[in-house]
Amino acid sequence: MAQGPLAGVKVLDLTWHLAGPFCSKLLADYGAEVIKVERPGTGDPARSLSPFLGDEPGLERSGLFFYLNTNKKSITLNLRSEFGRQTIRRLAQEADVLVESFSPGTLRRLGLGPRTLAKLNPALVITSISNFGQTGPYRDYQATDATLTAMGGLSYVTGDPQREPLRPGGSQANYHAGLNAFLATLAALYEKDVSGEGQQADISMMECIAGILEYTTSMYSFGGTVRKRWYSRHHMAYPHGDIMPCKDGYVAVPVSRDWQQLCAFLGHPELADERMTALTYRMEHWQEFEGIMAQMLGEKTKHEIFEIGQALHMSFTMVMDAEEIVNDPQNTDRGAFVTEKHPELGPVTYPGAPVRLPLTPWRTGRAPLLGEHNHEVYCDRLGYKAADLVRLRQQGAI
Amino acid sequence: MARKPTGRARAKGVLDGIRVLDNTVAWAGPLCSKTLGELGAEVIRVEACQRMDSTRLLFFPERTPTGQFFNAGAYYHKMNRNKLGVTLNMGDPEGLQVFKELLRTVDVFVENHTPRVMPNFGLPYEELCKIRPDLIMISLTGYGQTGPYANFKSVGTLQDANGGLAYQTGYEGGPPTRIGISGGDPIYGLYGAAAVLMALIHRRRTGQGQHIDLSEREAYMSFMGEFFLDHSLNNRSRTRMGNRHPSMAPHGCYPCKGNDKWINIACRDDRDWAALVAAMGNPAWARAERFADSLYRYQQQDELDEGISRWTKRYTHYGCMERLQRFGVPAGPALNGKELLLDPHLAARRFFSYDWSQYTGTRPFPGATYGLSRTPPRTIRPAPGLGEHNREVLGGLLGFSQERLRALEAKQVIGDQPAIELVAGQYSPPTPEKMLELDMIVEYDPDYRKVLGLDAAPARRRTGRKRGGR
Repeated sequence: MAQGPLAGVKVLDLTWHLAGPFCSKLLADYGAEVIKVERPGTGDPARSLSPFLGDEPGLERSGLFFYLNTNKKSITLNLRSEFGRQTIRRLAQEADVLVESFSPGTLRRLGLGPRTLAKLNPALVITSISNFGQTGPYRDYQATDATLTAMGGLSYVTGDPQREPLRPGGSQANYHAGLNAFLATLAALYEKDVSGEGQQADISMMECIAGILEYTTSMYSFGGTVRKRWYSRHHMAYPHGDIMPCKDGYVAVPVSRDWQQLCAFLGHPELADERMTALTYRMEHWQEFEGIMAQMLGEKTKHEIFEIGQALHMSFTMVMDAEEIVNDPQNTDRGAFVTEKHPELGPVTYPGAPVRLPLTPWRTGRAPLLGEHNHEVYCDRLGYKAADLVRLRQQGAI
Repeated sequence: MARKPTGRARAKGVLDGIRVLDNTVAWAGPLCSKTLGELGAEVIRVEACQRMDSTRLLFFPERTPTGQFFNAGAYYHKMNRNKLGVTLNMGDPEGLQVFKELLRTVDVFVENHTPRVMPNFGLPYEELCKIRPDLIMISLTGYGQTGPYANFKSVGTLQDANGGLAYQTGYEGGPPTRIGISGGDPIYGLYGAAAVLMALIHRRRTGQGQHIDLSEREAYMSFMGEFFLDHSLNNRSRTRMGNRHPSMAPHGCYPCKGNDKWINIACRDDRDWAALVAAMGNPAWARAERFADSLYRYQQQDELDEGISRWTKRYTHYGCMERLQRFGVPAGPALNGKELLLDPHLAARRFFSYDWSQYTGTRPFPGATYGLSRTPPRTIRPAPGLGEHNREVLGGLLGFSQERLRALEAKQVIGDQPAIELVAGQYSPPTPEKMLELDMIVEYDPDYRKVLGLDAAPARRRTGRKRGGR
């Protein structure tokens, strides 16, 4: 059977919450062996984050934890114990990658700083993910996803101009950081194949947002204008990305290059005169057009708009909830969602491969139970006896 | 750490020796290949004079399309650094022939056409492999290479709706909202670069290339774990709750002193709340016993937010952040574009790179969104002008004679001028005054060149930013 592109790569995973685990999840889903180290007793704090099956919390009941930890092995280990530090050293010696998302400086205080680890294993790739990066004046600041989307500049440009900046849904800063960490880890792994040397990757969640603002900083550096949030719309055209109500929900309206088609589609071909075709004119008089669009879109369902639009090569999209997306014919045809069984959650359906490499496929899998692989890692790999595990458990080391 | 510091010498790139052919437009595709370039690959960007990338016409220097304005758009410059620029009309059989000759020399081919386009040129992946047997090809599309929507048109601006983010973004009780960027584009652009790296790892082991299928919508969906898991476990869709959070309170965006200045504050637990109360100077309303209970705080957020707003209004947003961070409360200002460019933390980390180009002069661009200590991502050249490297690539790399180059130019197979009529005025945005009136911008600052030090020019040019040192 074909294996993932990262088959044979060994990852020691010291991450928790969202961003770090998303990075190591991607590594695991593409074939790496990931050993996730969790705190004895409570495990990764993400085990205590919603959604829970039936809204009942429990260490093995979090859907978020499931999603972010597929295909990993879980061991429990107290990093503050001498046994904990020694074990990390041993595992780091054999690993290709160590991923961590502690506050900057924490690993060093545990005697496991990047220099120490690199001495043990010069080929080790160390991927560090943090709110603001390993350096700089905000390094030790506290943050949540909302703080980071705000400081990264994304919230300021999201929402209505007369209202407060709006937080993007979900946990965008964390997922972006996880993806960037995945990318940086792969780059370092590839380079290590060539040079035999490891290095450290530094991922700042604030920068992961500040780097994807499309034209926000350019508007200032090229023209002195400070961009403000402006509904759902792009600053270079009207309409362009506007989300408008229709008969049974909402649709997003495609870019105005298609203006003539749009007018024909809306039953108002007379609006396609030259003046109306100019970008600037439409932006300055958007209310006129919005009224006409609202009326016409209001007569059609979102599926009608999507289908008629696509027949005319106009890329309308429908605003969809989770149910609609999971059951969307394109997604079912491509198997974009996969289902795995979990001992406590039962069958769980979640988004599948984010990108498809036919010779080296992505794999499905479930998240591990807390400490599920203690025996495999401590006994089979590190040579401890079952009786040692009992003692370590009593000491609170695992 | 035993490793010697590399000093100011140009560090090695991860992808030194790898050549990439880039036939993409807009954001995601160019970002994918730009990222490979930042890691050291030689990227050859192919574009047609007959069908240019429309981002060339977005955001001109000083807002004014003059001279070779099609080479000066900010959007294009941001997404296409570290590339060589070649033009090629692939609609012409000779252009197609040149394309095949170029393809023979590359390791990776990046394209973002709908799936019907390359086969229509007679160049599906299987044919390309006859030219370059170990070719890694990556196709970035809205919906993927297969399935009923495969050939549907798609632009990144609209994928918020399709992928689930718009449904979750918006003011409480309000309509779904697109986030302030084409949010799917940077996600699948970076997934693309990651996938190419994985394919290169596989090629090193086996000598095999492959055709990578990347759908923007699927990549975007991977960022919505909690949304889809709540559906799987509890059969429901999380919907819009403004700046609030499913479990934390207070959790919001509060007004500060100044024009449209805001601070974000989040309390994860009782400890954060106690710290916030202390930072606010222990006001009587916040000390009320009922607020000690986290469930009560969650249920009475209107009252909570009103009290916090009264306090935040007395501070600037940065001032408020500094005070709250001293007490350990997660808090930060909602920064705008100008503030980001001047932010002391980003400046200390040299996040923005001030790069010079003959088409734009010196301008700051956001750097890579990751750092690597030994082989840092770097910018070695600005975005190319239309056909700027035709002679270097076709003459130098492929060894075309002057005669053949001239013949190709005469037939407009290659060139350095648009072969379509462009009316500069069509692409002029509204004036700053009009933008203010429309509420599209919060401020127009005529001194921006001075504020950013753009006239102090090449001395400020920085490359090879060092981050993630051990």
